[in-house]
Amino acid sequence: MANVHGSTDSFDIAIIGSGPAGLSAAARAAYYQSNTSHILLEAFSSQSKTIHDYQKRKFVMAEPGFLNLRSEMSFTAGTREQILEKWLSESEHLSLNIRYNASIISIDSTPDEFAITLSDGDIVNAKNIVLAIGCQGNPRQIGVEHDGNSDFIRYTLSDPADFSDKVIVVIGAGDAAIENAMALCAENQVYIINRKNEFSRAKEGNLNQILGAINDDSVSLSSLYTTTVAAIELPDAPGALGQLILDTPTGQKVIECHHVIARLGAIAPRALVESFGVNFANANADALPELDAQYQSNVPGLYIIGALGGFPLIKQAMNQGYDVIEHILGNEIQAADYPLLQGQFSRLPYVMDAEAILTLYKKRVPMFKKMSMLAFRELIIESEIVRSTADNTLLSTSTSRHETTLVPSDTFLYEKGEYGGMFYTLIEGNVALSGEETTQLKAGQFFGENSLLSGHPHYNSATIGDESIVIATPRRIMLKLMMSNEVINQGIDRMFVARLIDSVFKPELPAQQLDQLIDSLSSKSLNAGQTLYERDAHGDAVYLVRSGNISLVNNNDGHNVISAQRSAGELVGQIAMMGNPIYQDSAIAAVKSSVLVIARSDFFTLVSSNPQKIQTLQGDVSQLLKQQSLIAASGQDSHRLAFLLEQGIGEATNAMLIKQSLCIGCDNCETACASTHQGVSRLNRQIGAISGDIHIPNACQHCQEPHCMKDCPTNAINRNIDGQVSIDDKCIGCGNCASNCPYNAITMGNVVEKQAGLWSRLLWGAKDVTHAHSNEGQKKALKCDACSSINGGPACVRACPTGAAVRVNPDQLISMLRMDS
Amino acid sequence: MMSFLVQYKLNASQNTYSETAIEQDKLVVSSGAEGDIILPNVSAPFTIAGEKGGAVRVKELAKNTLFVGEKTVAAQSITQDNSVSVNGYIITVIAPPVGFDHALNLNVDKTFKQQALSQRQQKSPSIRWFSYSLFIITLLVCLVLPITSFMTQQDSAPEWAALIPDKLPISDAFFSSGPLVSAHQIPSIGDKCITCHQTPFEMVPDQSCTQCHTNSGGHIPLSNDESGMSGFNHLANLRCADCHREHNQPVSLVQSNNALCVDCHQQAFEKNDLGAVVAFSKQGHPNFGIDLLVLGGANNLTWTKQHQTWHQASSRDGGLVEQSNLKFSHEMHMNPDKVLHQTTSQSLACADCHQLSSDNEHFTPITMDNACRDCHALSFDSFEPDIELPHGNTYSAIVAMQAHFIRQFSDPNLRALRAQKKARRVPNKRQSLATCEKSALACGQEESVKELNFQFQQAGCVTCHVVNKTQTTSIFDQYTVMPVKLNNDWYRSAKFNHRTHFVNASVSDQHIAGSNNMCLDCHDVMHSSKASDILMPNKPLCLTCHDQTLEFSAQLQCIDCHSFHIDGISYPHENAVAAKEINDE
Amino acid sequence: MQVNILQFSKRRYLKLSLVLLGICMTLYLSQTGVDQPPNGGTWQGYVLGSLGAFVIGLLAWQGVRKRSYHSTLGTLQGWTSMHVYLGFLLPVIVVLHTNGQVGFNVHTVAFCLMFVVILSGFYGMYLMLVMPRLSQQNLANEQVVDLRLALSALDESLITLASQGQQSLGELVNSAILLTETKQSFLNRLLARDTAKVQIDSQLADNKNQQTMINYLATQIPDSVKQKEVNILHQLLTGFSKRQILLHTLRKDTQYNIIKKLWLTIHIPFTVSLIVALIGHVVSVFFYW
Repeated sequence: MANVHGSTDSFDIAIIGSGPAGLSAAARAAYYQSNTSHILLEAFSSQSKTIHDYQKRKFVMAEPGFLNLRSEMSFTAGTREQILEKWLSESEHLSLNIRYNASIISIDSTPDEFAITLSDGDIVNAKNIVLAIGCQGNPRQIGVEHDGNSDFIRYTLSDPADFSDKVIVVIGAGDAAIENAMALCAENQVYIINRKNEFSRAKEGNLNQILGAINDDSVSLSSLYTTTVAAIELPDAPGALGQLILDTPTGQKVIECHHVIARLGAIAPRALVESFGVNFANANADALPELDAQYQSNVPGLYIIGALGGFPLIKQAMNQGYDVIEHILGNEIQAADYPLLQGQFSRLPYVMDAEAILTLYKKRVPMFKKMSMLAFRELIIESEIVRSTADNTLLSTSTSRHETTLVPSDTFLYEKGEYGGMFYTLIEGNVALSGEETTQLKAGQFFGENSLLSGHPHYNSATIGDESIVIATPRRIMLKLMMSNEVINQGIDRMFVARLIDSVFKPELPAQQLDQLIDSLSSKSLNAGQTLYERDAHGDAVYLVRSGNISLVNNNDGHNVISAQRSAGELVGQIAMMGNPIYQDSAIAAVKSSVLVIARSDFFTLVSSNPQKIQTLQGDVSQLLKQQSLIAASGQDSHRLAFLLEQGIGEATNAMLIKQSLCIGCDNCETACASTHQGVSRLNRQIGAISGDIHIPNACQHCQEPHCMKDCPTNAINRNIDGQVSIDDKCIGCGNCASNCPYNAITMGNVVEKQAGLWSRLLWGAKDVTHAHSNEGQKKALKCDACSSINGGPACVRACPTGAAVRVNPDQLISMLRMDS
Repeated sequence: MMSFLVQYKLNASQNTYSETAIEQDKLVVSSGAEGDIILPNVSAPFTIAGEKGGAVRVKELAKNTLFVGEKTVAAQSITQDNSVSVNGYIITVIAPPVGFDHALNLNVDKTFKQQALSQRQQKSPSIRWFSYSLFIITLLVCLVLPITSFMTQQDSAPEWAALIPDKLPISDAFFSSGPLVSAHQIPSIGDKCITCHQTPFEMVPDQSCTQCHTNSGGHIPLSNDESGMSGFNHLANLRCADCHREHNQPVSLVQSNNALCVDCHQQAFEKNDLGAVVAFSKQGHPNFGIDLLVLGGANNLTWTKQHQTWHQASSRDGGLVEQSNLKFSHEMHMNPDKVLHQTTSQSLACADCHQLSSDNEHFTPITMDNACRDCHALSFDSFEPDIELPHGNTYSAIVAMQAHFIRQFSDPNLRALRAQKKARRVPNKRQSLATCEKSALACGQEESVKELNFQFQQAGCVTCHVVNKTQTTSIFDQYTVMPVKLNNDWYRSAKFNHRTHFVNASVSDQHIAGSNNMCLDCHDVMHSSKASDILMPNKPLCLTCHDQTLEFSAQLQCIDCHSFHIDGISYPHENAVAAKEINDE
Repeated sequence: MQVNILQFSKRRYLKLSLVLLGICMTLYLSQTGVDQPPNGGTWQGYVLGSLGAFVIGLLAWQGVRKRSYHSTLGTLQGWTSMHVYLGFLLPVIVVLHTNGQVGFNVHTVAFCLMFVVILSGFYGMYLMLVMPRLSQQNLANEQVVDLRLALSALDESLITLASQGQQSLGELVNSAILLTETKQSFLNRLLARDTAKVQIDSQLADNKNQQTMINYLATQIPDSVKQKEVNILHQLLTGFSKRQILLHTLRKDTQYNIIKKLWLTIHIPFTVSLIVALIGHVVSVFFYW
């Protein structure tokens, strides 16, 4: 069938969005076209806009490898071009009914079908809607006549090299606009149109660049501020000069140009989706729409699949496209990931169908009851099912990933002091949490949340009993879950707080009173630099750090000096609870942190309930006071400490520092790093802040709460028990981590597997380092792994001939500073 | 006259090129108004001249203004589609449109700024290159050249050696670890290592030494050695060079190190009558052995040298006597009351009889003529005192007597003369017959017999010689004078230098007048009345000065008295061969 | 926390070297042969020689260890510390080995080469200890790359600024910036010479430290009448003063970087040479045994 035109049509299934999910769904629908009619609505002028917008020749990967593809369409890892071409040809061959440039204005549901209103006024009727519009959203349009996507008006720039010696107008003041303008002005005459009178939204780097370029006559880039588009005169023929009529402060102005590129940001899809009546889990930005196991939203007949449904990976999306059609047609099919589910449960001590176990487990855990089956299914598949057993024959048999993991009874799941990337849920049997004292957990309870939420090492150890079963869920999945499920979020948080309080105060209160107290406690989150309390203020509360770091600042004859730093699980302001109820110092968040507010009264209730704990608390205080006085005594130390903290070392677990007075600039650290890490140095000595004797080179500092781990689609970034954050080969080079890292410690680059041998380097001077600049092949995210992969600790430090380079964690900082001075 | 077309695009913000045509053979590019093409940034002007086929030739008027690629060019032809860059501009030669001979395109060099940045860090001199060159040089100097020069000198030099010049800048002498001892710095050796070092990586063989040192003796006679002395093999396997170290300044070639000797000699070799030696001291060194002349043989008339050891360490060792068959008392001769010098009529000095021979160790042999005759003249006829008997032969002495006396009595004139003569009385001389009535023959024979008996019984020959009387009546066989031999070399295997021991004496004159004491210190003659006394000093005496155990002593190395190499004994290394054979059996 | 190569791990290798020194001295003094001077010929001589050769090998191995980044055999700082202290010890060992006997031969060649290497090494060590602070003071908490970018940015802004003034001014500033020679001869970089020129009315004038330019601008300001001109000149003046400082810092930095590496162009090649000569020395000893 060719593209359909006409005022009103009616279909059994309308699929919105021609991304992988949409295409796959449409393809499946087309398979049933004898008795089912479908239409695929695409707002853009071609298929799969998101992938289409990838930079040219980007290599797209087919993760997760363990998941089989189930779709009419084919998909294998390859370059952007290959994939798009394949899909286009397939969609024609499978005669999909696609309608391009059909962006949805609204959806109205009548009892038996939906009415979809398109931007061009047409209305499409459908019994079922499959929403597969992804998360990109639609680009915000210029908002005047003829602003539709065309050769003249563009909303994306896939390759600047396509243009040369053209006159091009870039509209927008965001990073995208600036980056495009900068890329284009090398070969073209470029105007950048800014609605405001300055580039306020841009990153600093981009800002400097664009301003430099604008002031540089040799660069053919000029900028118009406080200017908006009045009208567009399309060119007579593609490639010819068109006109852009602008409203400038000095009146109207006409620019003759070949192309207009508008980068005005995108309209997030959520608003749109909600306008269809779909509920989201909560107000949280990252929250997901509520779906059932069949991907059906609370609006009957409206199905949501793909990235929008919380499944960012192409293969997942395509499988869902297939499944959702089957569901709509009422065919009972086994989900594509069923084999995985089986694998996960394969070694459990009972004979049950995987699906049955799934439902069983969902019931077992109070917290999970609230979850949608879909989310729970994903949780199980992404998690590790751990079963302990004393049966050695069973243990000896080898297990593969995506099978139940067998561990001997009474082994540690994690130990005190280890960093935790996992969230554990006890399904059967028992687990012992042993901190200062041991508590036994019962089935249905969860643990390991403290490290997960605080980003600090576990303060207790977990030992799994005999014949027990535990679900170990990766950090990413858990955070996603908490974002999208308020109940779970609160549940976990409540437990976290309770255990935190317990670990700090060991209160011996009647359970009920304790519960009340805990419920009464409030949390407070602070951005970096935000003040928690001022010095000399009345100490009406003490604060327990949940996550991040709080710096204590003393006013030392006129200027502020940082005298100490408190991290998760530590108290702040308790001095004010003892003797004079006045804060002795100001408390300022060193990094994004959150604290638990414990009112004065509550504090005393907690403390007094357990007298012998008082000594320890007082001990801590005097310890702290001693340290503070030492630091405060030397202005230099506190100055340096301040410097380090403002450079973000506060949230580091393992940061590289270079002592300037020893560094001879031989760059052996970089070379060492490169040759121990496939030829690409993960640190850069040439850049990074310097203060006096301390230089913080550009290298990963393995944050307590790694920004990079936030949204890695393939869960390729892991933190090992010593806290090192490393990227494994599941990386698909999407670059999310790189852009999330506030310290630019992650580069996207290509590694070289084969490196020059030692002697050829020594004798012929073969290069140790190859820089990650080539565009060939598929780029991956590269960062420091603190050499957890190789023996003997960080190569950079071991290879420093003068001993200038060290790696430290924040706790060592103070002592380091002391020893230096 | 050529025509140039010049396209400008001096500012990237320009979209189109401005063009000018110039009719000239040569264009001047400069920042000043004098230029045909004016580029504000050109530090120094340069020219562009037309060439065939649209190519042009650029020529700079000041250094380092023009660049082709990274290199600066003073002058160069630029063919079509190639370009030259100058401070921020690129000038490209393009295909000339119709009506033009040449066309140039002037464009801003976008990369210029980046270059400028990158040029701020330029390479330093290449360490690696320097290393390799030094590597080669050192390899040549320290290994290749010396070894080559050695190979060319070998007898079996490979044929390529012919190609190598005889005199290499660095010869194998470069391997020398130090200068040779002066004795070896002779033309025939020069700096040719191969003279001694014949095969590489092999220690210098003895043949190298024996080439020149043909007849220095060995140490142990292998032939008559059944002892199988311990340490023998060690000695046998020694090479000359083991003791005689060359290139080993400042030390001389000769090893004076006692240890070398003591190594073996610290244990005694009874068979060879060699006591154990550890040092020259009372205990450390055995008593001296002395060689004595002993009369023996069939009729006790032949001398043999016999090695004795002085077991008691006194010089008056009753056990040992010398058998020279002489009668002589040093005591008497040294006594001025009894003996005065014939001519000087002073007391005798040792040197009057004992003349030090040139080796400074031994003395010229004492003979009748050089030592005794002055005083002990052999006159026998008191009437003719000037006539003396011949010495050393009994027969000729008797004949001479008979002849004399018969002649005396057979000539009447002589008889008469003799009768008138008044004979002089001389002590220890017989008053011979003045007149005789018998026949001349009878008188002469009688007188001869009388004199003979006197000489061999009272005084005369018998004074110094041991005379035996036989039973025969024949005048000639009646007496036999025992043969005389004086021992001239008492310490066979020891060296001694009298001269160095001549203290408090004027060494210049051989007679050493009045310097007896110095001799008497060692040779106890004043109490020696018999010729059989052995007056050689021995160990205790030497020890008085040379005892190594003394705090103050003139230290002696073994080789100061003894020498390792003994004449007439073959070389150790030859022994070695034999020794191995012995051991193999 | 971090200590320099000399203080490394409580001067472990200083102690080691001192012990070795003691041993070597005893060995040397134990040579009492009458017929054998104390030199390489005695057994003590051989021992000292072998020790010396071993130490040389160990020191030379630094070059390998530096590049074997996977090696867990101590840290490179440790090796460097050892390198330095054994470097102090080596000449002593060697002198004791040779007993100061020299001549025109391979042995003396090796001996001298050893000294060249050692002395250059001492100098290098001195630099290692001194240069960082100098660079640090020179750069004053800035990164070279930033300074370079700053300079090019400054240059651009100056050109733009000047282009707004009269033609002549524009060309003047252009020339001043473009004639700040970036392609410097090695010597000039080593001596941090400033060969900057400027083209004033088509005459090349020396512009050391941008002084000519600054003077010129300073004198121009009073003369010029137009307010716009004065502004531009003012900004240019401040700009060129910045430039003066930036260039000076960069020149110094380049100079320091060269100095930091230059000694190696003696140390390394002569080490190579030494190793060969050492082999020659050992071979020769047994070649002519």
